[in-house]
Amino acid sequence: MREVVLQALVLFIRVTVIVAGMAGSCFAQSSIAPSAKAERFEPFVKRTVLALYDSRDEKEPVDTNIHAYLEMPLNYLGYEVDYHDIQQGLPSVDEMRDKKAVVTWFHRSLVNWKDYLIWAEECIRGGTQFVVFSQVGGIDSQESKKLTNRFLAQLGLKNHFSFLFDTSDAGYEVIDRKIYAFEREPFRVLPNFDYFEAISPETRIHLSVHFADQTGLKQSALITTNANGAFVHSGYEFDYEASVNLMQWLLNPFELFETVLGRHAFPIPDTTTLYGNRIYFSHVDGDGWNNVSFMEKYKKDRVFSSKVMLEELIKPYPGLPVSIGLVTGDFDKAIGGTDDGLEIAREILAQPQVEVASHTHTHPFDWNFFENYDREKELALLKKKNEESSSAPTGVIGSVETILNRISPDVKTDNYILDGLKGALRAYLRFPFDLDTEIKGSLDFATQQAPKGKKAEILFWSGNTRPFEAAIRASRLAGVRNLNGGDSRYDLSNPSVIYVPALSRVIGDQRQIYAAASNEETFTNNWKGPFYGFAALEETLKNTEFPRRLKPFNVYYHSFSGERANAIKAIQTHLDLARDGPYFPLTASHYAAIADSFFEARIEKLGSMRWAIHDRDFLQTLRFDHADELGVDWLNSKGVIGQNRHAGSLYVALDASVAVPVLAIMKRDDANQVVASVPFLESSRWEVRNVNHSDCDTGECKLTFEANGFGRGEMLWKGLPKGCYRVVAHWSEGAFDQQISVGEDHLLSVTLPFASQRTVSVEIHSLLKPDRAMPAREKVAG
Amino acid sequence: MKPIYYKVIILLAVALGAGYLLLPDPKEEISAYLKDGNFQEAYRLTDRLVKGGNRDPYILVELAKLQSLVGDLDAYEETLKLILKTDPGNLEIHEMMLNFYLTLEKEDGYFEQLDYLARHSPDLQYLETLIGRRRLQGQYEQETELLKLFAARGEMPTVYEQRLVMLLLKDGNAKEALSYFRKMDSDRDADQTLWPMRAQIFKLLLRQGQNEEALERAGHWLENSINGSPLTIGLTIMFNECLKFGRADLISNLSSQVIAKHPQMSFLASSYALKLGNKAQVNAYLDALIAANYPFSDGDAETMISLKSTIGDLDGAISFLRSYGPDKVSHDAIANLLEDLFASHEDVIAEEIGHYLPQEQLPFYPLVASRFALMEGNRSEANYYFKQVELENVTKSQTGLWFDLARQLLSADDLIGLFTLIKDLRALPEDLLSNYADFVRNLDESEYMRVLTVLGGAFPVQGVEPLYANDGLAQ
Repeated sequence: MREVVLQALVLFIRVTVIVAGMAGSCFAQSSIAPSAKAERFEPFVKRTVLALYDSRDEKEPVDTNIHAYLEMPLNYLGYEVDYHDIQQGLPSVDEMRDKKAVVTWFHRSLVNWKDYLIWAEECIRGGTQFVVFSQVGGIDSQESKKLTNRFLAQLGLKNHFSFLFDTSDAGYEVIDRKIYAFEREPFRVLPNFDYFEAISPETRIHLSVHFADQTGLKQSALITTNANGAFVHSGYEFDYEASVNLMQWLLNPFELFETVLGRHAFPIPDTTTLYGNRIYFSHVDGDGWNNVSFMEKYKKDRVFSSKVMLEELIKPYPGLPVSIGLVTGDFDKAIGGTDDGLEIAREILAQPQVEVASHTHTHPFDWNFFENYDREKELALLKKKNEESSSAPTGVIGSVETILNRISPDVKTDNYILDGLKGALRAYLRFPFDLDTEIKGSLDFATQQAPKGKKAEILFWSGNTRPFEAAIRASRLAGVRNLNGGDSRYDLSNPSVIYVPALSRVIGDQRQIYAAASNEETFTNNWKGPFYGFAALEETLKNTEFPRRLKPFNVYYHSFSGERANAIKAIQTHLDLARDGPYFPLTASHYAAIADSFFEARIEKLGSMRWAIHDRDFLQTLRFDHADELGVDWLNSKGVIGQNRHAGSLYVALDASVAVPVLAIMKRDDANQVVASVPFLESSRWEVRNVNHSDCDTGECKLTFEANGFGRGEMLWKGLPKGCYRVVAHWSEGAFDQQISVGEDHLLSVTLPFASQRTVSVEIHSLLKPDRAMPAREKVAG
Repeated sequence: MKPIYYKVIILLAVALGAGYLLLPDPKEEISAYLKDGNFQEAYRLTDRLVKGGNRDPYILVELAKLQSLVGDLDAYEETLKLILKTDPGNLEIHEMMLNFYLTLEKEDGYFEQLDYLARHSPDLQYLETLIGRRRLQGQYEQETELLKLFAARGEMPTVYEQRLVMLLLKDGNAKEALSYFRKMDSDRDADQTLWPMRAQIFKLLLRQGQNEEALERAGHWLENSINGSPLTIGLTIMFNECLKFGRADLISNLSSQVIAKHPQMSFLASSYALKLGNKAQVNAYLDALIAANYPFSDGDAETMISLKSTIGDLDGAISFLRSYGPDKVSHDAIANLLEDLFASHEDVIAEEIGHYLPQEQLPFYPLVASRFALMEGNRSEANYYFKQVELENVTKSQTGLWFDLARQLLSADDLIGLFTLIKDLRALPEDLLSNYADFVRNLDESEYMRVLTVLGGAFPVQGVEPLYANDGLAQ
């Protein structure tokens, strides 16, 4: 016992000394917790990748190539990306402790190249993987070349520092089509390249080119991986075609990261799916609330577009939640708003399926300006804009106003309104910018317009959707989620997964959650038309569903859509699809909460194929890719209630009522043997929780759970023994009773009636024989 | 027939004609509705007319526009197709369809219309967009075909010219590439993208033995070049080709021309003069720069010192280093100078220059460190540093110093042993092999033969640069 205590003491002193004395060194980290030991002492899966960037070239994380091109694939694979500016020195031991890998995409030599290269080599030796895009970071000196090659040797490469000017006689040697030629064919005329030699048999070459020099034929390895990481040569990762201003990947970033970071290393927290269905949510920025609709049906009566939205898009879809973000300045007479639209706002917010939200008070366009706000500067800009607008022809002003106009023409004369003008800082400038009014004030106002019991749950960022740190913090302190930005599209005009953004943007210690799709503005030439353009969301929807489900189904629009008949029609097409298709409808704040939870969840490894999920909060889906052969091991899992398959991935549903569920998976053949007698949820439009079932192999099969959600509660259960079942449901205002037979497919399909989001207690139990007293069809009361 | 019937028929015809003339013109009616903003009525009327068989293009187009306005997108598409059925070459309708498919992000329809417009519209923007799209998709055969189409229509933008020629060359269609190039080449100033293509054409002309044309064209390009910086890649490729063909005269000729326009190209010209073994020319180029008070950058200064040192003008190199400022050049530049000084046995000056190289940097230049250690009599440290240098990594300029040190620190057997470990001697610089051949000549016959086999007719080569050195590769 003494020895154990002594050893522990020695270990503690060692750790303390190393940590105190070697901050900034990866070696220290590796000494404390080399990878093998880390498994023993820190059973939590490492899900963080550190992105190093150089703020000389990329000012903020959001400006980096890593954020633009790599963060989404990393998020998809379950990883969070932390950013560190190399200009601020090297990451400390603390920062490296939970990192699975480091990813770099430098554009030139680093100022602190020497420290960096030494540190990077030590990191790799300590078990941190490195994924290097483009420049390694060294300079043109013997010392740097040596250090660079010491570092690259860990990736199985050697840089000969020879640049091939003339690639006319060079050709491809290896093209690994699993990782390369992803969205387009390789270049016909090769870009220039450096001579990188693969120096280890362990180096997997995914792209290489051959060329000749005076000593014979050589092979330059341009994209490689090994156990320590990956290298991607500059100019070969994607193509940018300037004439059409479009990009496409050559490299497959999903496959690259999966190859390096490992497949099936842990169940991936998934933000796209709930209870087997793709998530659906819709949110509205309140721009153009008071605009008069141009629609034939409404224009004579000068009906506001917000009212049109209510009549055409909200009331006809009671089963589809929608989150409405008011620009509260629109109702504030003191700054140029009008209370004409307030009654409409109250009516909309009173709809049961409507979630209350704010789209700020004065609608800032350029958030950066307000971080270090200067009223004098703002007034000077206002003056300039007013001069410009007064000298501009009426037609131009008119059309500009139409773009984002939310003010009725009568009050447009107010000199403190810059709405819709190009370069405007915010819409209402009557009073100095005040963060509290902008965030908390607007949320409170929105809450006041809602019926009792409802409050604002989320804030939708306005303008350039790049809020500063304090603004995001203010929204968090106000107790709401936040959303917007990202402009996710994947279609003919955005023909690459590059245009699908990450889950979020981090600034300082705050996180902004991106919307899951772009809005109608980007589909309609900034609301200049054609106004039916938003119908094209369907293409993005398809492309982000196959071959990978990358994003939920998000219908995101503005109140001004109510101005145009064809815009309304386009939105209705999407709402029809959401109402009738296999989706899980939820509110925007619920989605934002799930996205937030992605970053909070911790996964504890309990065995080679068994994990406990901690702190997952709102996130109820885990995923395995390339999982045709995998299935849930129901007997060794806890709090796991369903599984579903999509595009080769296995989606696992967790029971929201279980704090720390345990997921075990097994080879599918084995799993199939088990699932025959374990009822599980295949899919549901409603949340299902508190699931309990009897042993269905013996005696009566009984399944109980609670459920709630929007619209009809369509759900599909699997794994029930063949026979006749009775489904009984109760909620505060009603009840449901139905007999359903289960056949050879072991499927039980049931649709619970509209229950206004009340929690419904459900019991499904097998009947020895059909109850003759019960009609075969459903019985609904209440 | 009785005359009365004729009268009745005529009267009826007149009545019908008058009635027709008195009826409102549907086009005017539609126009009036549109003017009043009464789209609903305009829609109703046009729809009724078209359903009744009216195929007047005006009415069909207005119907399509109204269908688009209310969001009847399927009907809109059908109406446009209907117009094209009777008027397949109607570019306005093709444009409407293109915009429709683009707005709806429908790939198949979009590319069908874009292809049509690219081939039939006088507006080149469609062809440009299609070329860009095909290139982005990596569909090079189609891109080549479209670029040829563009070339047939008139003057090509520079970037297309470069793409077409490079694609044809890559596909082995040298004759066609040259033909296009000859048609399109102009003497205008060129950017980074155009010079590599010019260089490829220059190569091609040399390979086809059309040296005069190559030189003439290159002369015009250089004469008209305004910006010197994009020339480096192009000239490097061109000079390498000249080296391959042993055409020192072309290098010299082009060098003179380019230096006259762009003095900064003296460094590139010098490096090729050096490859040709023309040290006097190198000196002349460099001294001309000094005489002209050329504004050297730190990088230029390093190149100057390196070139001076390499051609053996060590005094010139040292003098330049001192006047420019030793603290402004890299450690690499100083270490390289030291290597050359040691190789020339200028130990005293080397020791003096050595003060510009910080002590902690010495481990990164092990040959220099080894030599300094030997000068201090510290043989074990000299040995330690010498062993840091792998034989395969000895550069051409280090050959002299390495061999000096090797002969002082190693036994003959050990030295030969180092070379016998190298399976393919071609990986080593020829100067090193030449030195080694001299060394091993009377010591190991089989090893001597092995070296000779690699050197071939190039032995002895001391002091002479191989003509084909560093093909395409620049350090």
